[in-house]
Amino acid sequence: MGIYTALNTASSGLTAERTRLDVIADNLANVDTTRTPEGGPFRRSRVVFRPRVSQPYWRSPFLPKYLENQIGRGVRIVDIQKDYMSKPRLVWDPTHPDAIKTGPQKGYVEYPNVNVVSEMVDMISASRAYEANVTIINGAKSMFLKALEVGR
Amino acid sequence: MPGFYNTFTSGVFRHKTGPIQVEPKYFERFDRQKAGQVKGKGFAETLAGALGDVNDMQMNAYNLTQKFITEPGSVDVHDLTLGMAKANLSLSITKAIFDRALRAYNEIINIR
Repeated sequence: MGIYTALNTASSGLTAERTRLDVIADNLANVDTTRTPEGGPFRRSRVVFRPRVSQPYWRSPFLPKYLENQIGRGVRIVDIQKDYMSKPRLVWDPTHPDAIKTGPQKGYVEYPNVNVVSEMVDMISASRAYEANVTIINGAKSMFLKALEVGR
Repeated sequence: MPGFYNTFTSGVFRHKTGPIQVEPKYFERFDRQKAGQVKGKGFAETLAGALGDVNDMQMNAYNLTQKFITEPGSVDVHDLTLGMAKANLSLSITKAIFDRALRAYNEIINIR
């Protein structure tokens, strides 16, 4: 535990939330993309986080509490995953170059499964979480400066 | 003799009269720190090392600033501001320690 632990932890949170915002920006920018290299419409992506710890997770009844899992070290990004579960949005537009040519859905265009409203809500959540981490940094800094005033 | 169970549950056992004793093998980490303090480097080396760390932080903040100016896309803003905050904090603790040391020196000088 050092004086910069809180700062480093909050820094990882800042990076994570900024990456989340990047992903949301990508989703919103591709809200009307109907053509992708892998075929089909654009699929929305999501970020997957996991906690970053200083030691592996395990627990043993033979060890004192002090050697068990300690305070974590923040968050890290595991993956940025495409959402293939939800179906693309179908819009009737037979003149569109990417319209479905055959089958029962002939004449429909597959638009990405990006929901603008939920992306905006995610964006608000990401920026609030970013602000919370900045507040943590300011709080840690003022605690540190207060500690320097001890005995002055 | 300390109880076996006690040792395993808390890692710390207490004699009836003496101070709290710590089972050393469970506290290797802390003991290493303590050993470093006892038979480690001298005061001057420690001070120089600490000053080097502070200087590293200042240089890190400076380099990040330079990089941010020349190549804004490559550096996160919060990394830059956090580096500056760390440099600021480490410099302020150095200044606090030096002020205390100087004050102690002055008090000793003024003994009559």
